[in-house]
Amino acid sequence: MIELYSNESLISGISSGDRKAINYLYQNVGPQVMSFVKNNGGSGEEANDIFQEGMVSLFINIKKGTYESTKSTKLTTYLFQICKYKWYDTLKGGNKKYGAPIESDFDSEIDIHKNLEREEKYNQLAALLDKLDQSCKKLLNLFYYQQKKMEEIGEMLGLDTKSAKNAKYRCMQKLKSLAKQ
Amino acid sequence: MENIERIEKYIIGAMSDEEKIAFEQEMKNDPILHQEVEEVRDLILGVQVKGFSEDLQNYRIPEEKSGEQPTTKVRRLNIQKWSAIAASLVIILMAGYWLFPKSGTSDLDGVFYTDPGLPTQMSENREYNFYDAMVDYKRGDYAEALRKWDNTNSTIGNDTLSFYKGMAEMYTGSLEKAQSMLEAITSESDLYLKAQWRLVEINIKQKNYDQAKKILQDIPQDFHEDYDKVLDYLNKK
Repeated sequence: MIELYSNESLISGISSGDRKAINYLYQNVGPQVMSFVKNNGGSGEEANDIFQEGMVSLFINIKKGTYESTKSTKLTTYLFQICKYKWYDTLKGGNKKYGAPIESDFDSEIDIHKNLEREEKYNQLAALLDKLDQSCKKLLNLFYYQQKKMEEIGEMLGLDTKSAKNAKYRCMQKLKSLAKQ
Repeated sequence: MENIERIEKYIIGAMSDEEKIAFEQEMKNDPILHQEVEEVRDLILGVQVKGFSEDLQNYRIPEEKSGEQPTTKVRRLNIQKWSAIAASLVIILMAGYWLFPKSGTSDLDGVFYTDPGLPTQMSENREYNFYDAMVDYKRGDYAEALRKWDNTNSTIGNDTLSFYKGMAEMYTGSLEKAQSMLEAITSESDLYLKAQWRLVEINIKQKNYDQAKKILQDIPQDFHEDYDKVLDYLNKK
């Protein structure tokens, strides 16, 4: 069932990782990206990869406020543009036989290079989570991503609220030191 | 600890207006505090990006719908031509039957899609071996990915490694190996439900429908949008 979303509710939905908002973009922008990639020498798998990376990029840009500053573009159009230049970038870097288009093809509202730098930075920070033990990873996910309250997290992990808070502090310290390595 | 709590309170917007103004003033006068705030802000976004990326693993672009039939002009064919077409169709269908025996899971087409793997970060040198193998995995060269993962001393989470080794084993047809890899992922892990979902898939492939159903019933219904479809399928078995 397709639900109609306003631009505002899509922004807040994606920002909070809402499943329905994610699904809406997969259903409504995904097929466009799929045709675009397939028409430009890519496979269905590659289209899914590009779309996934585009969604992460969109998430970062919403969180950093970068999307806000380009708000004249609808979020769905913006996501398609990100995926489009990502695919061009793949063509440029790989040994695909299709040449990369000139940069004037891109929408001027998106700073491609800054966008890539941002993604790399946060993907690297995200990868650090795999170096923490499972309980830390879960705790930080519950608090910062799923935005659960400490009391609730404590209950879920079998800890009292104070111990859960202390554990979160220790996990953040570990993450901080990993980021500095 | 106090400082990190204050920083966090500021970042997540939990400070009162008064506190906020005072904190911002303090930041202006203290570049170290300012830098610390930016560091914590980045770490938090890193955690959120991780959570969001993991959630995305459960989604796929929907397969193109066949849509409306292309409009073709109907021409009158004489009876001999129809008979010839019917005869060829029988031959094609029979050949198809022998060449591609029905798997018995066509009701579930598109439900258990190929896991696309993790986004690769080749600049992350410490995990180079893990991500190098992930590139092979994403290309569909599962045997090569397995060879590299078997030789890696990656410090990436053990369950992440077990999960993708399990996936690669499954896609190369080694269902039993895949099963034991996925069964090694405990309920403590964030990948537990994903692993259980894949165990349902493996059991269906092995025609162990009862076992598949048993595992499925321990997975929360809202874990996957096709949950009911799989349950219906298993109920009919």
